[in-house]
Amino acid sequence: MPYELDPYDEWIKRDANPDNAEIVADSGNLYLRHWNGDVFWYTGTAMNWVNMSTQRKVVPGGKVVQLAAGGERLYCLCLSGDIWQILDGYLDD
Amino acid sequence: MWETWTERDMLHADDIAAIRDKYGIRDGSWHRICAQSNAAQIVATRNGHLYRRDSDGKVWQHNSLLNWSLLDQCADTAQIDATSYNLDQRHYNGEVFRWTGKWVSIDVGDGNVQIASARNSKKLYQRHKNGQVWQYTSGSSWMWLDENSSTVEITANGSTVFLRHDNGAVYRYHGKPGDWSEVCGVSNTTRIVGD
Repeated sequence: MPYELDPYDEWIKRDANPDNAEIVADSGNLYLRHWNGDVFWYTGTAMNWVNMSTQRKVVPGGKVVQLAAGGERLYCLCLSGDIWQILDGYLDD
Repeated sequence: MWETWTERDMLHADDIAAIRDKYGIRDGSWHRICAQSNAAQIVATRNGHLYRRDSDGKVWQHNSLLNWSLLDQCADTAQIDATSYNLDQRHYNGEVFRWTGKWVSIDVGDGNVQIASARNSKKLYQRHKNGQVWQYTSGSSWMWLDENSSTVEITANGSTVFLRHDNGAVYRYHGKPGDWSEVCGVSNTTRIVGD
């Protein structure tokens, strides 16, 4: 299930990794980018992330340098200048 | 919002078929919507708009596929931010402009180093180099919310605005100038994100 924001007086550790470079959130979905450009989607279970770069095929534009999420889509700005989009969530064919 | 399933391997094929029958089959593939640009920043809004700022200051709005509309070309543009309601840009000199079909100045700048939109509301905030935090009201008017030289970042959601100090502490605004409470103490926090 999509995660929900915690009360502000309670913090739940969702990940612990020095590779983490950026997080973005939208409408209950939380995404994470590693310094190497890999992109992850939070499953709703603490410390449990899905690598969208591999599970959903590597982002074709190459290394991802910035994320944006909105309108039920995740956008990836790549080092090449490409911008790629994919739908939110996680239900593949 | 789409339903999501994370334990797909535990679902029977009939379950998957039923889910798809109810919600449809999602296109889980990547689509290129911009090719080899000099994009420096992208901003997505909850109602499905996507904007990009190029390193030469151009500002674009995504239409469909690989089609974009040019909204501005000014080398002074340092940052854009957007919500479902507004698109704003900050210049390197701190000046802030709002897109209304044309660009309208809503602040003359002077010390403004960051703007932050509340994604699901019309609220806009700015942070000054000296740690001041201001909320946009109307016209070219802004309301002072805080001043602390330790403030290095702000972010907002539809309810309120948050700020981060250089020691990792995070504070939440309570709707009255100067009234903030700590939601995270001194920490290694390096980035805060509102939703």
